[in-house]
Parts: sequence; C-alpha cells; structure tokens
Amino acid sequence: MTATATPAAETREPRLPLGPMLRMQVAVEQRIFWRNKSGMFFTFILPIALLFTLALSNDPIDMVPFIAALGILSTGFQGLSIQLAMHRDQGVLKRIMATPLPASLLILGKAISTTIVILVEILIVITVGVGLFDAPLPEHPFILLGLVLLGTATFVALGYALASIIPTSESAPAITNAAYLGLLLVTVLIAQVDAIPDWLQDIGTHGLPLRALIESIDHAWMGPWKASDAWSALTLAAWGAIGALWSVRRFRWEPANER
Amino acid sequence: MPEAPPRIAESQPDHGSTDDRVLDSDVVLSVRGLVKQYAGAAEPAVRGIDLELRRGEVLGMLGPNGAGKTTTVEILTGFRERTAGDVQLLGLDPGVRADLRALRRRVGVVLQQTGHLRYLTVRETLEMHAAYYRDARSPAEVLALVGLEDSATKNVRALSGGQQRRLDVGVALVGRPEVVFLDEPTTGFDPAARRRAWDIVGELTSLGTSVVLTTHYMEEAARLADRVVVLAAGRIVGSGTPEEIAHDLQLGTTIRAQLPDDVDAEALPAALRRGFVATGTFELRVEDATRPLAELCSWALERGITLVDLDVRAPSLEDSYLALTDETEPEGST
Repeated sequence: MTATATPAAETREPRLPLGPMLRMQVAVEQRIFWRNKSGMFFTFILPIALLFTLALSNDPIDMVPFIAALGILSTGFQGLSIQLAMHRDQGVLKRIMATPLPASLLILGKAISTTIVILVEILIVITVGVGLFDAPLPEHPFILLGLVLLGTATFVALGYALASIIPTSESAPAITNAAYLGLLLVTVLIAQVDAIPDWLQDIGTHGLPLRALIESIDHAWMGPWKASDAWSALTLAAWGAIGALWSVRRFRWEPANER
Repeated sequence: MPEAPPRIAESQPDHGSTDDRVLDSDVVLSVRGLVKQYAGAAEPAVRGIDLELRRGEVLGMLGPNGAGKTTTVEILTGFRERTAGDVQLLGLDPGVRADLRALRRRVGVVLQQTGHLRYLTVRETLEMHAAYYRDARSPAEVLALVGLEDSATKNVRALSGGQQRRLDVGVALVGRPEVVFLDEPTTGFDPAARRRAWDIVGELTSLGTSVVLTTHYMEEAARLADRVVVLAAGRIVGSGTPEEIAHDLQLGTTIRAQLPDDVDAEALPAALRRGFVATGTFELRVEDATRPLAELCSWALERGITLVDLDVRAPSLEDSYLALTDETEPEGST
C-alpha cells in the first residue's frame, strides 16, 4: 500500500476469496473433529452401543431410525454447542472474528462439517441395522437424505441457540446434557404414556423437533411415507428458524468474563 | 449501548483539525475525544483520549491495569462500541460495520484472551489464516518472522506460553497488515522471550507497518515506541517521546541520605534545609545535583558525620510513569 493512496481508493478492495475460505473452514472443522478421540466416541461408538442395548428389549426395527435421529441430536445439537462454548472461552471465536472471515462462512463451514459427520454416522447405523438386525434398506432413501439434511440444519441452529445461553465452558456439559435428556424424555414420555390426553400427544408428536425427526425418519425408512409427514418436516424447519433467529440476536463470540 | 456514536461530519472542509488529519495520508490512526462508559459502571473506563499514529511508527500506550488500555484497543479494533469520540483508522471508522469489514483485511490484532484451535499444528493454523486473505504471507515466511520454525509441526496446545503469544503475533501478520495492534504482547514472558518479541516489533516497523502497543512495562515502551502516551484512570496523563516524558515532568535529580538523629534542619547549610524531610531523613530534589551534593558532603566532612545510604539518582521512565499515574490515583480506576 503506497503512502499516497487516498482513503477512498483504499476502501475499494478486491472481493474476499470466499470459495477458498469455505473450503478451508470445512477442512479445518473436519481435521479437528477426526483428531478429537472423545468426540468420536460419542458420535460413533455410543449410538451403536445404544442400538445393541435397546435391541435387547425392543424391536430393533423400531430402534434403528430412533438411533439415527439421536445421532443427529447428539452431534448437531449437543456436540456443537459444547464445542462452541469451549472455543468461545478459549478465545478461538474472538480470534477468528478479528480476521476478514465472515461469520456466515464460519457458521456454514461448521454446518457442512457437521453434516459430513452425521452422514457417516447414519451410514454406519444403516449398515449395522441392515447387516445385524435385519432392518430393511430405507424405503425412501432420498426423502431420508433430505430429512437428515433438514434435521442437521435444524439442530445446528438449535446448537447455536443453546450455546448462546451457556455462560462458560465449565457449565456446557451440564446444560447440554440437561437439554438433550430433557428433550429425549419429553419426546419418549409423550408417545408412551397413555394417561396423556390426545391433544397433548398431538402437540408433542407434531410440535417437538426431536419427535418430528424420529417420526419422519421412521416413515421415510420403514414406510409408509404419508402426506401428513410433511408436517413433521415443517415442524423441523420452524424450530430451525426459531433457533437461527434466537442465535442471531443472542449468540456471543467472546469469552463470558468480558463485558 | 447500540446507539451510533456521534461523529464529526467529514463533509465540512473549513472545520480545522478533523479534515487536516484526514488529508494527511501519513496519519494512519487518529483518535479524538474517545469516551467509553460501560453500562452499569460508575465511572467511564475511557474519559476522552486523543491519539495519533503515523505510518511506520510505534505508539506505546503505557499504564497500569484498569487504565483503559485494553478498552481503547478493543474499540479501535471493532470489538467494542464507543460512547463518544471520533476515530479514523486508515481513513475508516471501526465503529461502522462496512468500514470494519474493510479494516479486518488491513489491520492485524494481538488481543488478550484469544486462542487457537487446539487440534491444529502451528503450520496448519497459519495456513488457515492465510486462506482469509488475498495476498497472504506464506506460513514459512510468518514462521521465520516470529521465530517458530522449529515448532511448525507442533500441536498448538503443546506450545509454551511464550510460543503461543508468538503464534498470536504471527497470525496477526499473515494478512500483511498496514497497522498492527499489540495488546500487552509480552505479559508473562521471561526476559529472553521479551527481547525476542521486541526484535519482531523492530522487524515490523522496518517493513513499514505501524504499531499500537500497550504495555505496563516501562522498559518495553522506552525500547520500542517512537511516542508514548501514559494512561491512568481512562485519561492521558502524559505523552511524547520516552525521553520527553521523563524531561517534561522535571523530576530533576534526587539526593537521598540518612542523617544522625541529633541533626535538625537548622544544623544544615541554608541551601540544603528544604531537604530535611524528618528527623534522620534527607531528601532533596534538584535540577542540577553538582553543587548541593558538594555542599552536603563538605558539611558532613566538617562535622565528621557519615552519610548513611547516600544516593543520587536521575529520573528514569519508571519514575516518570509512577509520578504520572500517582497523580490520578485518588480518582480510582475501572
């Protein structure tokens, strides 16, 4: 930059290298995921272990779509919000915000990387389910794929929303586990307990994101896919929008002890 | 808090100083009347400070903790909104979103409380940052600049504190910034590491980079800065070259000694009496110590008095700094 350039001329800059930026973000996110052994345990070992356990006392055919949905929840929602809280406390997010990388690309990079991990996870669940528990191959594979992508986007958005209410990384595991188990408990209870009136069951079935994800994955996989299942997809999308809006307003990039 | 900070209109050519400095292309940073009042805080953290930085210069911001250094740097780097004042950084305003986007490409920052992804190596970290700029420094070049060649393949989390700080500096240099903000870059360093960091700053300015450096080490400011501002309780209490600051205070030279308890002020030569602080204590501040020192010594020799702990000292930057910050201490700090 020459000393004689006027401020006005200096502000006209070439466009940011958005393509290389996004490629780099996805590559970096992938690297840090595959290098973190404990994250891989929760993403790959735990769901399969859970599948084996649940298959002992339940019809494995019911359990396979359930485990697939749980994988999206634990990776997209729980894992992401813990990672965000840690990176925020370590000042990693603040450091990146001091570069020209747009926040939208940082978020998109994380979402794409999370989607890759979840697709691998779902493939493993399908392989194990079909290979070991005689589950059928997905009846509507493209609808299933679409639901996995939509579900991932929704729970990534909710992961940012959750991270925005986590004060420090120390409290992150407790808060995310409470959110995860709470969502799971409510979802399962509503479907299983007969004493719950029908209208409340309807709200639970069609209104909660996890229930909507489990139901729709189940129907796309095992069939039959009904027109009413589109409502589940809409429910998911609505929760994703709520999560995104909340995050835009509340998400912080800087450590909590800074004003 | 989100309300827009008042700005001086730039479209009025006859309004003196504001436009002069916009036209002066050598001035890369100009701050006028900067104020920061945090919500809920009794006192403003920054109470109207002025700064100016020219191309290739190092501006040292010196001050104790809570003086407002970090708040100022975070406002200038777009991490905080200012309450009032005018800021021009490379002709842009970091408080304006569109300007800040442009500044992110041209300004490097080393802030406090930042970190790097722990599962990446040093080289991978630099490669990641290189992807954010059009004309980035290669990882090899940055590694050489900050002296981390031997740690290139190390995991970030395996670095020592000093090495991590050097990586912080390295990352700030990837985009060939025109201005670099270094917020206490050497806090917690051992003397050898500090000297290496100083060499890096020297190298930066030789490349034409302008630097804003905050520190609470006198020695660091004296060594690196072309000009120093001393901050205390959110105000500038002194500014100039390191030498000027020491001189402007006119601290003079201090002669100190212990006197026998039976000596009172009357016993001293007339010219030295005002140095009698209390029984047994002599402390005299003078412009030129030659004559008073000779008088004191010959008086003591005549009486057969031994001057215990005789001490003659010229002012150091340390003294200037303490004198400047002491004056404002009763006001408290943030």
